[in-house]
Amino acid sequence: MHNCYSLGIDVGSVSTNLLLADNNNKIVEKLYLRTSGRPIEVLTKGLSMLKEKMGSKDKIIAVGATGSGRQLAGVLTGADVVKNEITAHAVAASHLVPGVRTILEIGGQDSKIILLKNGVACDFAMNTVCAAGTGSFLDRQAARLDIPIEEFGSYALRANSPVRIAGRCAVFAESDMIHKQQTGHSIENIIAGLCEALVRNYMNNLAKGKEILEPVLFQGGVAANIGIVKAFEKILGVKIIIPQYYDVMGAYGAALLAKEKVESTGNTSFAGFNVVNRDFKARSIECTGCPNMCEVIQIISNGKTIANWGDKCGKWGAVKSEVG
Amino acid sequence: MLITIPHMGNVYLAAKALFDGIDVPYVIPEPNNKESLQKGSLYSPEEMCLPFKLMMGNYMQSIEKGADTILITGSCGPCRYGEYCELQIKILSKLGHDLDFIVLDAPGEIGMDEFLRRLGKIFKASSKSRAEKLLAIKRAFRVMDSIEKLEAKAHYLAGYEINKGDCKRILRQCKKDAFGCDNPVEMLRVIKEYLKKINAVPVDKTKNPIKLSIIGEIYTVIEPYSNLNIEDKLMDYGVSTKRLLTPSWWYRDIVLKPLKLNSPGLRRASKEYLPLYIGGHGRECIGEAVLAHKEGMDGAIQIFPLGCMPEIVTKAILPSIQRDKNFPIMSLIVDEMTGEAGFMTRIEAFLDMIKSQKKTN
Amino acid sequence: MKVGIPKGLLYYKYGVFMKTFFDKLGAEIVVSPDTNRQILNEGVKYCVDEACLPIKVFHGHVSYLKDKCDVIFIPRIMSIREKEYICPKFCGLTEMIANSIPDLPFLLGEPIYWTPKEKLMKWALNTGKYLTNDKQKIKKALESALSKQNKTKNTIKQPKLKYKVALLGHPYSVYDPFLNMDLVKKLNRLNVEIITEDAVDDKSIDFEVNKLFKKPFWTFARNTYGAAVNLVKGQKIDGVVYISSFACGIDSVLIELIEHETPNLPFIVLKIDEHTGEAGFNTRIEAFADMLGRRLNFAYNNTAYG
Repeated sequence: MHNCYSLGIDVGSVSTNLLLADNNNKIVEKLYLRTSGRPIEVLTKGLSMLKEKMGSKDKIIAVGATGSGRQLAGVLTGADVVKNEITAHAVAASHLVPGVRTILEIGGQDSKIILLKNGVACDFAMNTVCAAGTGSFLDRQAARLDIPIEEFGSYALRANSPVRIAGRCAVFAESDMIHKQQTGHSIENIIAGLCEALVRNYMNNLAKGKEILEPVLFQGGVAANIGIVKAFEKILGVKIIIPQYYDVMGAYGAALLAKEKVESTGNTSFAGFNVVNRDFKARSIECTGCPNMCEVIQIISNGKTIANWGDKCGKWGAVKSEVG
Repeated sequence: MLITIPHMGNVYLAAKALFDGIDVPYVIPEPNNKESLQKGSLYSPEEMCLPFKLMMGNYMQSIEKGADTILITGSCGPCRYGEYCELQIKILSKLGHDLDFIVLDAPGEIGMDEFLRRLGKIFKASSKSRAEKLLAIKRAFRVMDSIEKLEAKAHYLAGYEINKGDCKRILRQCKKDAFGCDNPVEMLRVIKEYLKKINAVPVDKTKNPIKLSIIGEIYTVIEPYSNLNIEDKLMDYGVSTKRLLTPSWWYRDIVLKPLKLNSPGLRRASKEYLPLYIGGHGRECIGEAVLAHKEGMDGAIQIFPLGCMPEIVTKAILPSIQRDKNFPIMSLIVDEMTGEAGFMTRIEAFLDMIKSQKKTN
Repeated sequence: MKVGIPKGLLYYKYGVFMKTFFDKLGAEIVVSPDTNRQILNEGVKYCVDEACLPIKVFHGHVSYLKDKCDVIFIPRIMSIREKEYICPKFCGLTEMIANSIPDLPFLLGEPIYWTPKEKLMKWALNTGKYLTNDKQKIKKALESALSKQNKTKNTIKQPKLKYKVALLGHPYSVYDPFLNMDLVKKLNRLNVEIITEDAVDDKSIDFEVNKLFKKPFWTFARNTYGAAVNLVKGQKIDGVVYISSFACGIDSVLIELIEHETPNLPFIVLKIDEHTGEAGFNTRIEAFADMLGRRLNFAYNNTAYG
């Protein structure tokens, strides 16, 4: 007997997530890999890892790509759907929790809020300030304080009086934290203060003037941090739901969208697992065709350019992700 | 005298037509690009708004080609644009560039005599007769009007075109060919030809594309480099866009403002939310958002440079319009740090949102 | 009727006027307290994120007052001098507030033109009509408010100290100690006294401003630029401290203009917003004070008249 899977891929700047969902949209495999600035390598590695876990007769019936590297992932895998991560997150959330009204999402390098009505996004915002409000920053501070990031949350819960951490950007927030440490505040209170600062920045930057209605979902890698969850609950005064697949919601949304698409088109454009054996290189060139000097991204496979994007005039045959 | 102008949408075409017409030597700076932004940012105060930085970049590039006179328009507040010239003169002179700045403030503010005196500096360098000069001015205005007409058509028809990319291609080619002309008569002829072409683009009128209004701060809506070519991108997505603010709207507004005849529809539309002029085009932005909803557009995108004072006021007001009228409005803020990836993600998600709302309605 | 007056923005310059006007109209006046952490947090919560700190703080003051009075006065000051403005955010202040803070009482937010007198009278009548039907009473209230205001001079009392610097910035940044993190006291403790633009008379300001290619159309820019150049030329100061809000459009032009005129003086720009950490702020101030000291010592040891 063989199984049919939808493949969801989310290539972000910090992590690359891949997952397989079965016919009932249940996730059977998921991978969370560090992108480490080498998206192609990590992606092909992830694909071969999945391949190994699949039965020899199992089939991929749909592929969806999302995240800031979605175009790249789309070209490499022959994805059926290449979709921005905001829509992907919204689709995944309303699939898991029908009737969800608010999605809070904090990932590695960015954060979002999405409001939904009748299962459809009706408003959204993405962070406009620096990484001080995102997962990478928490990671960095955990490393600096020499506390495993997994335990960050429990430290925060033990705080009795969280300190106020100031800082428009990660660098300033960090120097303020160091200052607070020097003045003798406990680690617990500093970590709790950090969580509150992150949530406060999130609320002021993204959620301003937006009506937060329940059910409220919190997703993205940072949702694992109980300190942040508690800070959200304290500030919003609502119950926060962490969905089962909180850390791979983008990839899950992409898989769902791809499956939907294939159901209407009939078959997948998946390039097959042997792409992992092919040699891919990405490079960027500066087009000198006109003074616009566009930076064109080229994907080269076995000496041949298979895709270009980034140009303004379209002469390089831009590959676009789709809308709709 | 070697005269130059900063970029602002299609103004360079009209300027070229004018200078060719009166036969005055000029340099049109390269279109805004990475280099102009880098050079401009280097010599501008950090918290200055994006248009200032790009303009500085334009000057630097023109100066390298020998420009010694800069022609710009002015305004008398309260938005920063009116103070640009003062600071630009100082910064450039500190860098050792002795330039002649010709600042065309509105005649209503500086007096007609002063306005004509400043304008006269350009025309003194021309050996053409008075009649020829007047004709050149007239033609430059016609160039402006007709290229805008073409652009508006292309932006709107992109949602209806049958062969994807027709409109964008025609618009691009027209600008390129027009810029290649060496006299205004020829340029007008070229644009006219492309107008015919755009009118002949095969369209499917039964399509129901997403229709958006582009609103916000005037420089960042009309200068494509500053808004990461948003209108081109929307054409690629098959979205019909409309934009009221253009250079020709702007000069008509200046002329009609003292008589209070400027854009009465906008003033009426903005009344409920912002009944006063607050500088820049803040009131217009609000009026346009209200009008866009009335005209049956599906949404609006507001664009403004980081720190833009009037548009910060409007950004506080737009959510009320969005709520009251159930009309999607997205604000995009641009500066030299704006990254393409996040920008595109927002635009795509916004279009997805509108599309799914259209479906449910 | 209870009239709420937010203690923010130009309250620091025209507070006397505001209080006298409404007092003479027989209103009960509620002024919000000095800016504090709570007010700042409320302001940051409601105000559009891109706005500057003083505007956010003002939102906080309005939020504080919203259930403590019948109407709130919004000083939407369009213009203080002819053909000059304050800033676009002041022009649209009433709308910003109305669209950002929920459940507000009625806002007295008519546009205020300080000159000419007829325009100010128009504002007084438009505003006063909500409190009384007696036009004469309104006119009288305006007169006494104006005369009281004109007798008031904004100053910060200063001891005589070793160094003297010009403290520049918009009035609400200079006069609100919470906003500027007690800057004046901190400077005093470092043996630095301050002088503000209020010490320079109008004529001297005009004298400097008229030399510019284009007359600044922002009143704050005019005042600060003119005063700064005057103080620098008068050799009355050892340095310049400019307290400025992040994202202030006016300062992005003004600071550059002033720096052009003060090439040889210690000049420090202190940027403030709700994210500013006090530790870093203090470090900058201390380093600046050290610089003043070292520079003067250097001058004494190395010049003929030292």
